[in-house]
Order: sequence, then structure tokens, then C-alpha cells
Amino acid sequence: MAKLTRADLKKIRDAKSKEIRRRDPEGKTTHVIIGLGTCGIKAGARETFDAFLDEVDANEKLQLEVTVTQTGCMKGGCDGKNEPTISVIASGMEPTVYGNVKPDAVKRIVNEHIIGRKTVSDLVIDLK
Amino acid sequence: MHKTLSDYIVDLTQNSVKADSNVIIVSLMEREDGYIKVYIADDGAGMDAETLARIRELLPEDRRNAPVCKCSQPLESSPGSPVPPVSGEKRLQRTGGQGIPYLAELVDKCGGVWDVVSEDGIGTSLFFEINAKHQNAPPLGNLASAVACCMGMEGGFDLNFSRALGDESYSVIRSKAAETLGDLHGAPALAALREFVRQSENELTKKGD
Repeated sequence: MAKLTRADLKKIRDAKSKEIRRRDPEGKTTHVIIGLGTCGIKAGARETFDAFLDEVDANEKLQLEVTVTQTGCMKGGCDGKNEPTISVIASGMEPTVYGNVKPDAVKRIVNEHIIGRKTVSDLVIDLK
Repeated sequence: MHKTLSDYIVDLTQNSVKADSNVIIVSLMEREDGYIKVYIADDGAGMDAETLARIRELLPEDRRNAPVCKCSQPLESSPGSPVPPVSGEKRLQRTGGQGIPYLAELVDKCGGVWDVVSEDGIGTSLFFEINAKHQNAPPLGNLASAVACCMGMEGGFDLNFSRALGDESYSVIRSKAAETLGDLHGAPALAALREFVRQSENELTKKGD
């Protein structure tokens, strides 16, 4: 087996994007938080994570503006409803929680909320 | 049950992150004959005796009351890691959540074994082993995505992920990856990390090389 090294990781980094900015979370204006509790994972939250990664990584402007992080169950009591859930915190907009965010919904949230700065009303859920 | 073994790894690692761990070790060992053993250890909040006993009720009866080894010495972060060694009491206490019941169900359906030890304020270690060729065993799934997912979780923890297939292996250390890629919450960094694991996995699973 040819073992990959940190030099290989650097090559991947350089090949994928010249826009990886080192240690610059402050420069980001939009934060996507994905709920990865047990019920979220069961409902496909990891595929949702992958889809966000792909959408953001494919857009140089978004690469600079968006962070993608994972947290546990957003509702604190894994009831399995509306999973996968995500939260989008964009500067100048109200923090929004979306439910049933399957990969096909990710494209909508990226295009309409993050780029278009308009809430995707039919996916919004109330955690209260 | 989760759809893939990678999902179990994400779920159980998330438990360690939530437990306010400084260091998390995740090890996935696959034998040539198809047996897969996963070991996850952390120096997080740990469980009190009552919670641990409740979790261990999920074990088969013959293992439930077996003598339980105490957690070993606190985990060390990787050499040169900026994460300080483990220390003292934790504010949180680990509750167990739904991840371990899911794991117990998986192992039960696949005829494998699992166990967990935990000490309040010291940390938690668990392992499971299943025959991946068992008819009820889920596929390994997208391990590259799972590792990127775990590395990008919120928190200042270090995470040492290692993966072995037979005599070959590779590993990824969160603090080292961050030195190369910077902020691991940026999509490009996580995508690069995911690609690194994907390529490592391809090298590992190449036959006849």
C-alpha cells in the first residue's frame, strides 16, 4: 500500500482550491450547522453534510463565506421528526432552522437562502 | 439501526465530542476474513456508575456482569499536538444517548460483541466487533465522509482516526490536518480532508499491490 502523507494532503488542498484560507473563521459570514444526533444520522444527516460540502466547495465565493459544522441533536430529545435538521446563521438575517433537509433540499437552501438571502419558507421548522 | 457502519462511527464519535473530550481515539480494524472491530475512546465527562449500569443492561446477560476493567490512564494527545494532556474533573456528565442502544441492536443482529467502560470524570471506551459478511451487517459506507464529518464537529478536541485492513493502515490526526488545511469548518478544508481519506481508503483496499 502506498501510504498517503501530509505532503499528499497539501497537494489535494492545492489542487482542490486556492481559496482555502488558513485559520480564518472570522471572515465567514454564514454558518451552517447540521444536527448529527442519532435520529439525524438515521435520517441521512451525513449525506446532507456531504451535499453542503459539495455545494459550498464548488463555489469560490461561498468557500470564503460559509462554514459547515456539525452538532448533536438540535431539539435535545431525538424524536426523529423533521430530520435531518440544520441551522443557517447568516449575517443580516434571522437565524433559521430547516427540517427534512435531504440532499435535494440543500441546493435550494444554498441558492435561495445563502446566495439569494431569502428564507426557504416551506422547509422552516419551529423547534419550540 | 443506521444504514452503514460509517454512520455508527459518526454517531458514537459525536457522543465523545458532546462529552467535552480533549482527546478522542477512533480505530477501525478490519481483518482479511471480514471481521471488523471498532474502538472509540475519549477522555470526556464519562458516566456515573448508575448510568453505566443502565447502559450495560443492553449487553447480553453473560457479559453484563463480567468484571469491568477500569479505564486506563488518561489518553495522551498525539506527539506534538497542541491539545494539552487530559486533566481533572469534567463539568458535564455523559448520558449515553441513543447511539449505544443502536449499537447494541446492530451487534445483536450480526452476532458480534460490544462492550463499554466509563468512569465519571475520566472518560469512556467502547468497542464493537462484527462479521461484516454477516447477512444483517450493514455496509461500511462512505468512510471518507464520516471521517470528515467527525473532524469538522464543533469543539477544540483532538481526534486520532486510524484505519487498518490486514497489515496495512493509515491514520488522520485532527490537529495535524488543521495545521495543513487551517480552519476545519471551512468547506474546502473538509472537502480536501474527505478526498485525502478517500484516496487513502482506495490505496488500502487495492488488491494485489
